[in-house]
Amino acid sequence: MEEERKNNSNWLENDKFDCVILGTGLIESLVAGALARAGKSVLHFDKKVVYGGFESSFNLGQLTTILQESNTNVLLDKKDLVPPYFENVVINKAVQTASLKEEENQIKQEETISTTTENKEEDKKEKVETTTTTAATTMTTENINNNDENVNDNNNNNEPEVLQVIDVPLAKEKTLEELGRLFSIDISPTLLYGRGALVKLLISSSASRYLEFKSLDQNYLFANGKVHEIPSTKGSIFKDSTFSLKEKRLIMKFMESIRDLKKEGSDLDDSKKEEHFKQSIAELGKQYKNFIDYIKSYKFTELVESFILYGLSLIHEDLDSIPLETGIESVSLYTSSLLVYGVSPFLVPYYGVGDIPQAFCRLCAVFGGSYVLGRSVDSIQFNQETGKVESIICSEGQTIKTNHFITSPKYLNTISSQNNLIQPQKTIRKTYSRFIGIIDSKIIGTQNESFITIPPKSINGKNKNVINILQLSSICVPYNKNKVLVHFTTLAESTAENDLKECVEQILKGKKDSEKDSASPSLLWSTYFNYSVDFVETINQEKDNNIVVCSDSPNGQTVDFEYHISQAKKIFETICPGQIFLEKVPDADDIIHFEEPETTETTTDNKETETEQKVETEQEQKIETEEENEKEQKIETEKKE
Amino acid sequence: MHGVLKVRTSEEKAKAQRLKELEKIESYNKLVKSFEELREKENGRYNEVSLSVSKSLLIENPEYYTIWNYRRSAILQFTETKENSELQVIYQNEMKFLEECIQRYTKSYWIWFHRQWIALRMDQCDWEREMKLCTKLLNFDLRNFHCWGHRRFILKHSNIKLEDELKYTTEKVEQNFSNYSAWHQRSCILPKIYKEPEQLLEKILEEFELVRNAVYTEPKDSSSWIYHKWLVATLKSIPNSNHIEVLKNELTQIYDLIELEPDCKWPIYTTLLLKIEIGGFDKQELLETISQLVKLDPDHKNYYKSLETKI
Repeated sequence: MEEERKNNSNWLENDKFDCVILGTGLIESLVAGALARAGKSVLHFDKKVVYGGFESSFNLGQLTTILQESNTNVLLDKKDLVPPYFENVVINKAVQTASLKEEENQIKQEETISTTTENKEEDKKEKVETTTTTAATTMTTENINNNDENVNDNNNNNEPEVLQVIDVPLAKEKTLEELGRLFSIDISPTLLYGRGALVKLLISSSASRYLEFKSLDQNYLFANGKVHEIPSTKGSIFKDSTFSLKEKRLIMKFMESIRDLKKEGSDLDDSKKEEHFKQSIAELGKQYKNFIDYIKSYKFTELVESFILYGLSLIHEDLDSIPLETGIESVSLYTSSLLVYGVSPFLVPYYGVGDIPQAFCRLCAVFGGSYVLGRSVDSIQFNQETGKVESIICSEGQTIKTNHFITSPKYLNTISSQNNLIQPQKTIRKTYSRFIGIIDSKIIGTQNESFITIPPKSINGKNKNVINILQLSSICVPYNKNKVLVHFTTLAESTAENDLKECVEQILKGKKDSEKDSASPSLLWSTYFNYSVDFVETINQEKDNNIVVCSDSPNGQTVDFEYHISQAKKIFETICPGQIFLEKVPDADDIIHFEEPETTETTTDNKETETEQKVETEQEQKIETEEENEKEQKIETEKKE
Repeated sequence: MHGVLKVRTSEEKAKAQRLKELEKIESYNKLVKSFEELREKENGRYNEVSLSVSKSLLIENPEYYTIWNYRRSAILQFTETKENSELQVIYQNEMKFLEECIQRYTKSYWIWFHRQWIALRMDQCDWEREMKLCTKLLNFDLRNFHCWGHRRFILKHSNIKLEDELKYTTEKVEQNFSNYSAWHQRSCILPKIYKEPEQLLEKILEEFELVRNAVYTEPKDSSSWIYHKWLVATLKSIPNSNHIEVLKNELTQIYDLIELEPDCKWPIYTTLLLKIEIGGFDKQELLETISQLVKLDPDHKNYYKSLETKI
């Protein structure tokens, strides 16, 4: 073993850290940022070359590659199964030659890659076959990538020509592959509440300076075969035409009663409001056991009830057993987030969800954290007497001393240790079915950035769980090229294709209200896949051996990040008890970098701030160059707008 | 300790802030003094310098109304001595300067007044631009009544279509109907657009429906009820409108709302007014409604009592 392994003992200059973190999912990134901010030295690994784990965003080429890699994963060691990886991947591509329209219709190929479930049952012989096909498809992606570059080069060469010869017909429409790198496609798309926990944390920790958001245009409820705007502000309820006068009054009354429970808009201070809320919930709790009982007590019409349960509250898993307080908190979060950053209560990250973990990693780096992507931890070594983590051996073979080791369950499975001191984690696994599609126009009846909730049993009575759709057509897609990105997410019952195919077809077909409505969008590219997330129930490993295992990050179905933040906080508190979690970074102008040394103590302080500064600039440059390539184009298009 | 940043304390920051402020106050006082000296010296004989000095003072403090009066006196004197083309240039510059001031101080009476005064002296005021300015400011504060007033001023002096303005008020009401100014604007322009009694009647009936949506959404909001009151009065003034039938229908609709919201004063108050208007209701019944209102809204007790005389 030792001989096979690389033994690069001088790989990192520094081989002693307070904390080593493996995996850059949101929770890990939050913890990394908080630890570095509190003065701990942090070494942060990710086996993949992108930040974010399941909470990452990719361009089209990258996404195709990792989806295809997942198909080959079954044949590989479980050691390679780190986030993000997928199962049951199907990719459909309508290849369009962008020249003549006649040709366009003729050459419409469909490329389907066999699903992994099939692979599992196949015998050896067939396995060989699939390996060859996947090898072939990886080849094609390489070609695609090459083409991509070539085309870009060509374009650059062409530009001056076009300027000179005006008679030349307009440059032919770019193919999807050529535009691929302008997409920002989330593995687990999500929305942020304007007054939600993450937005509050981004502001209080100053990490918001690394991010940009756009307000969602409109959220919808799918009912009776078509999408209905979810009216939520007074103005939108007033002009809504779906609900009757009486229903309008009942909706308003319900929202008022929730606001009243929270004493929103009153002069009371927060602790008093909290107290009032707790009391009122206790009082209501005597009458109603669950949120659903409370809602039923209003005797709403069916439409209004599903509007509240699926539109105003976004906790949709196990609807019948949502506790009263959780449900009311959820509605209250919705109502208090209205009109904060726009009419909609939601924000969407401008360049994809992947930016969020990256922002906290950056915060960590600014405070001296070290980042190594594309590397992992091979094994953990424990102190024989105390049984605590002593060091880790990274995939470069270097031994790195550390006091704490933080990772997630999937990574933990890939690590070996002496004497099996790593306890298996008690986890809850949730599997999500996903569909990602690129279409050529918006879903009928929706606005640019839209969120559609499909209640259970509303797709021909079949879907068992709620399906959420996020549509992005002015962000995360190439500017002004009639490309729309649609994300479908639901808790898995079967393979993603089985769970979502019918829904995708029905939603994309849409229902026209009048002749004026535009035609149904057609699919240019699409994929179905499943991914599984492990939630760790209790964070208590720290006491025994200084290893902390946290949950995988994504929240495919529910919205906002309260869970992740509270878990990150807990982990932080076990390592830095009594310290502030992600304390606000002061304004650059207010930081005193150099000061006349008065005592010896301050001189050491100065040294540290100096090195900090150095790290800061280095890290910033590093990250900037990484990001710039991706973002430059988008910023340009944005400016044009 | 590692990782702890040294930060300027709030005391240090406050001190630096205070120093900056003192500097600003000093320079402002100097400016005021130099203006007063100039004013004394020129003794009512204005020239270009009068405009530039007063302008530099207004840049610092556009709320100083004496200076606006001073500028108007200067401009009035110029009208006697200067060519029209020269004057128009002065007006143009004045409008541009006012636009900057108005965006900083959106609710200053003197700035708005000065703008209207100049606008009417111009050979060709860009009324479209005036409208856009109001629209822009109303996006920040949809209840800025100065803007709404300026819009009516524009409508009076320009050829801008009243229909467009009606569309604009609809838009604003849909955004947030708790907006007296927008409803008031509607009441100002509706009779001007629909001049024929039949047309107006038809529109008024539509408006009743619109208000109904508003009061069902938010029965406590007084602005839509007050518009309702205006609709009733306008309906009454239309000859042959058969208004009693319409009002009876309104009454039953509001009864439905009271069933949902028994403790809200506005629908109850409105039924009382409607009943007085329709006539023929039992006096005892009306008196009971009045005492109910007194109980719900004791602050306006005497007003409700005064209605007893109308029964």
